[in-house]
Amino acid sequence: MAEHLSIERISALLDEPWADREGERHLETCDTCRAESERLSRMRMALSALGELDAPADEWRRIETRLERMRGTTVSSAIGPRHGSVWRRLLANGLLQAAAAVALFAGGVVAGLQFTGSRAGGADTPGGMGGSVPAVVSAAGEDRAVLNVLSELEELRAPLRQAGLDDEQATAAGDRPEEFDAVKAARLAARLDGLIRAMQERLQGSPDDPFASAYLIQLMDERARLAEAIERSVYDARTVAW
Amino acid sequence: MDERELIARARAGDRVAMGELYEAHSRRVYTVVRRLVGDDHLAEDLSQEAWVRAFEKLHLFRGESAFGTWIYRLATNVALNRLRRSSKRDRVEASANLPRVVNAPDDLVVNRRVLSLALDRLPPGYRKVLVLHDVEGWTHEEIAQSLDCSAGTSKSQLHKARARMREMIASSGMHEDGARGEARI
Repeated sequence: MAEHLSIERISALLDEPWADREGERHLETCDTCRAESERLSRMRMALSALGELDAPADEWRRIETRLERMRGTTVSSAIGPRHGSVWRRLLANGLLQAAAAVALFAGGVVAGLQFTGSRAGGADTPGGMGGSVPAVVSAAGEDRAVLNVLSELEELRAPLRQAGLDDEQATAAGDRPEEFDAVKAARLAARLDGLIRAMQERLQGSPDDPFASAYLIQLMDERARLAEAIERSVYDARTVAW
Repeated sequence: MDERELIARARAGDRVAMGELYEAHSRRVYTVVRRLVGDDHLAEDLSQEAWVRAFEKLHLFRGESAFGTWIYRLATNVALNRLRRSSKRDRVEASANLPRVVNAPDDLVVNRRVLSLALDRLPPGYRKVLVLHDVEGWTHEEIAQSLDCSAGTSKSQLHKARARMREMIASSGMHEDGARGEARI
């Protein structure tokens, strides 16, 4: 073999000399390639001997701050059995909560209709009826809007659910990144904001409305979780853009 | 207090226990993340991210391996995932030059410094394989599993990475004068 070996081939010979007998024979007779092999060998040893680095001095303080912030933005405790990511937590909690919220709201609409009908029946003036019916129509509209938003939230979570990964599997499989549609999430956040405002206005008109209260809590809970997910996705984008 | 007790307390939200776990393993976590991503600021963000996730997922830690192994693996995954996401935005060019080394007072320090700089300037696809294999001691099979590629691809990337490292180190002057350069590397 008259020509010198490529560095890649010499590198391969370092690790698996038995896999390239011809290359091995060349090294025995070629001073240039043998010298390159020795340099590569020393580099490999030097790499394996690189020491540990000090973590940034304020890293623990920053971690504590993030843990505190996460506690503040989630309803459940930051500690104890829970899912690792926002979307896994949503998956775990969201279905039941969504079902509960829809049931509550549906119950609220029915109760509202009954209440309104009762009150309307006893009203002496058309104004009593006129003041109640629009509120029920409005609540039904809110009901549909909220159902739509909850349905879209579920769609946003669907890729993760379809992947069938729980935390442990994901960790073992390399903690694969989750699909997250940030644009859709932002759109949903805006709609949640609108529903929250509508629910707040409804409560201003009927401060004792238990259904509106429960619904408002549910919506704010979903909004906080969504904000956390969006924040994390923005954080990711910032660090990706290097 | 042994590690098992620390973990139990950390699971219950004991911040002091969390801090002790962090103290015991922070250097190893930061080091592997920093070497994989080749950037100080990104490494700081990802190292934090790894710890936050670790404390979030602590209930999943069964104690079948050492906590250090678990958090190390989690941090590696966090860094590799980020590299995977940013693979189309490689910041560095392989041709980037290293500073030239002239009359170095401390061969060992210069050696490590130049090696570290060369690592940072490798394209991420090369760097992660070189770091995992030559620095961290992973097998090609382990790398292939983590990177979702074949062991053959891992080997091929490793040899290209070493060749690129050699080119960069040579251009830094470390090897231009034969024996002097060889002695350092």
